[in-house]
Amino acid sequence: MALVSILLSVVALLCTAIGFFTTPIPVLGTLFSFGAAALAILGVVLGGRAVSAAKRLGTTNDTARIGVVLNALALVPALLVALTCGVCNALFSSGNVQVQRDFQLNMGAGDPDAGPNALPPPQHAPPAEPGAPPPLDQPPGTPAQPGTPPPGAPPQQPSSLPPPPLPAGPGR
Amino acid sequence: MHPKLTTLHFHGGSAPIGTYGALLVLALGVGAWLALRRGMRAGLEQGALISSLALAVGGGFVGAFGVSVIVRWVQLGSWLAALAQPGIVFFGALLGGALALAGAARRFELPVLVTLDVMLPAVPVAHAIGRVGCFFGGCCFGAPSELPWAVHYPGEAFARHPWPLYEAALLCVFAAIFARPLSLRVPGRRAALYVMCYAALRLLLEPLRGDVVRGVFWRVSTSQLIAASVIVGCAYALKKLRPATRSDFQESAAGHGSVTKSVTASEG
Repeated sequence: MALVSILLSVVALLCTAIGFFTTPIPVLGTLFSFGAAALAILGVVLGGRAVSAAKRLGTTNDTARIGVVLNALALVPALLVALTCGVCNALFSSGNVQVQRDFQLNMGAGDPDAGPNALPPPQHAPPAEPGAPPPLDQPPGTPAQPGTPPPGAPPQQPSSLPPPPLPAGPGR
Repeated sequence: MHPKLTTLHFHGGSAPIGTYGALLVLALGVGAWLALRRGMRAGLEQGALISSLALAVGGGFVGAFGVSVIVRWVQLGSWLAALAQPGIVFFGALLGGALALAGAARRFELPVLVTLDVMLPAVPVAHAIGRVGCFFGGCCFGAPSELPWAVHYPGEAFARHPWPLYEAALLCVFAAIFARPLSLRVPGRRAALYVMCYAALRLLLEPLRGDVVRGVFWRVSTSQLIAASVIVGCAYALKKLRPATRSDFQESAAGHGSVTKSVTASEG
C-alpha cells in the first residue's frame, strides 16, 4: 500500500503537468487537472492506511510516511492547477459561447487588475443611506452580469482560444 | 483586490497563479495540520486520521462543486450550462466534508462524533484563510456601502462592504471559542453547535452580500435557505444527542487510550 501511495504521488504530479499544458484542449485539460488532485487525495488515503497497517504489524512506517508526504506535496500544485486551468478548461469545454464571452469579460481583458469573478457592472447607484438593504431584490435567478467594458471602448470579440487561466475565485 | 499572485513563465507562454487558489491551498494545509495535531493529542490513531482527513478534503470539494452545480442547474435550467460555470459553495463543502469524515471515521474505526468534535476548530481557521482569498480574488463581495472601511473594486464608481473580511474576522472568533479544551461529555455536540452558529452567522451577514450570482429564490438567497435548513437540522441533532456512557467509549474508542481517559475524566 505504501509503494502504491508513492506511485500515485508520481502519477498525480505527471497528471498535474499534463493538465497544465493541456488547458487549451477541451475536456482533456479538465480531466487531467481534476484527476491529478483526486489521485493525490487517494494517495494520501492509501498512505494513511499504510501507516495504520505498519503500526498494527509493528513494522517501520517510513515508506508509508514518505507516501503521505509526497502525496500531500503533489496535492498543492494539483489543486492550484485544478482551480485555475481545470476550471478554465471546463468553462471552454462546454462550448457555450455566451459563457465564454462572459468569462473573457470577467477576466477583464485590458484591465490587468480586474478580478476573476463576475463583478456586476456599476449599474446600481450607491444606496441612499449607508445601511440600505442589499440588492437582493433583483429578479429571482438572475445571474450576475459580467463587468462591462468602459464606455467608448471597442467591443471585445470572443476568441477561439481561452484567455490565460486565472483562478475562478468561486467561493460563495 | 489582488487576484494574481504571480505568473509562471515557461517556454512559449506563461500562466498566472491566482491568489485565491494559493490561499485556498494554504487554508487546506493549515486546517489539515491543525486537525491532525488535535486528533493525535486526543489519542486518535494517526494513520486513520490522515486517511479520514484526506477523504474529508475530497468530500468537501465534491460537496462544494456539487451544491454549486445544483444551484446553477435550478437557476439556468440546464445541467450542461451549470457544469460550464463551476463554483464553490461553502455549505456544500461543509456537508460533503463532514459526511466524508464521518464515513471514513466509521470505516477506519475511529469514534465518529469524537472525531468530528476534535477536528472542528480547524474548520473556521481554514475557512477564514479562504475568505481572505475571496477578498483578494474579488469574489463574495459586499453590498454598496459608504462606510469608511468600504472598499473600491476595480471598474466601479462606488465602494462595497468588504464582506469576506467580515466573515473571516468572525470565523477567527469562532475558532477561538471552539478551540477551548475538549469536553466529550456529549460527543458531537460541539460539532453540531459550531455548524448551527455558523449558519446563524451566515443568516445575519447575508444581507450585506452584493453578489446575486449565487441565486435568489423568493427574495431569499441560496445560502440563507441552506442556513435555515442547517439550523433546523442541527437543533434536531442537538436534541437527539445523548451524553456518552463509559461503555460507549470503551467500545468505540478501543485502542485510543487518550480519548478513553479524557472521557472518563469528564464523566468523573
